[in-house]
Amino acid sequence: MRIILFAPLMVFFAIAILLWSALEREPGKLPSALIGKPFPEFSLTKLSAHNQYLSAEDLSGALALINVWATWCYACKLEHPYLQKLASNGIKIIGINYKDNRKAAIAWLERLGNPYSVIIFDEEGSLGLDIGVSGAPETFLIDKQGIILHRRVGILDQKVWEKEFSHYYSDSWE
Amino acid sequence: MPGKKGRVFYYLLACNYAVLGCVVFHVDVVSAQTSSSDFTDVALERRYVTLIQELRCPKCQNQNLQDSHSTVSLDLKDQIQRLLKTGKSDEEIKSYLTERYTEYILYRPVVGYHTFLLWVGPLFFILIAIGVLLFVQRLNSSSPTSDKHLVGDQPHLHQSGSGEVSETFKKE
Repeated sequence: MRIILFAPLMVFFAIAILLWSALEREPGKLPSALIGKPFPEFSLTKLSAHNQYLSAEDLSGALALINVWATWCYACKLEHPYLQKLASNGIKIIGINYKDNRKAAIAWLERLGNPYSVIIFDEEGSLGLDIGVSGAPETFLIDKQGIILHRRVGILDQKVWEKEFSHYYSDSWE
Repeated sequence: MPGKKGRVFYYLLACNYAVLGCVVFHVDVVSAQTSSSDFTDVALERRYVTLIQELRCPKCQNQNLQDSHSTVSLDLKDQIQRLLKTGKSDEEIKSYLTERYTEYILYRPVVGYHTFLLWVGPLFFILIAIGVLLFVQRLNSSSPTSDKHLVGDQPHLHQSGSGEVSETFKKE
């Protein structure tokens, strides 16, 4: 009978633990619906040539990053030097130029350098919608078969690379 | 004839209603603005407005599509209009969006194993509360010893308390 007196305390601790663990969660974090699924089909032109079309097949073949960027996106500019560094280390990066102007995007790359092996020009944002993009920059990782392995919303830098991406690459080298 | 205090009161009341009126009017105007769409069909427009109120902006945790002006929300609103016009049902549109943006985009969570706690949780807590209530009540009624103990402890308080109450009644 005595033990019943401690029931409120127990309930308190149970709720405290529940709430404590909830502090660690990121309710604003948008999960990706596409992890483990193939990159969606699309047919869009290359940024560099308005008459050359690309499709999902052109993306597979090797482990690759797919980076969503735009000239209007300030954070993309901050991210850009790190992408350059990754590219110079032999990491394949495919660009999606998202809701942008073709001329402005080409000029941007001429000025800052081009880390992308190929760039998809998604003027209307239709591909962005199909991969559930909420803004730029965003970075996806796809494997040889074109299956999406990981997604990062926001800037990709050294810290994020080491925490979320690098192990995929060390696995493939082993 | 209301005194000065009375007039101030009515004045404040009038202000109150004026503000309330503005708020209601504002809400109407704003919702009319944000649902700017080129629907010719009223029923379709109504479905559109309901949808964008229930769907969440993927970029902004605490806003629905209707209130959000972020690029992605504007795109999604356009896309929803397009889908509605091609005759897609509400369910089809929702599943189209969850395929891309996950269930995160639904403000009204689906009923399923993973949301079980969310839907049943409140009921569970109510049951606990009722249980505790019944338990305490039974504890109080089934143990006369503790009752006597309480009364025996503070007899003066009880008497003086009731005495005071009856006195004030007499005065009135």
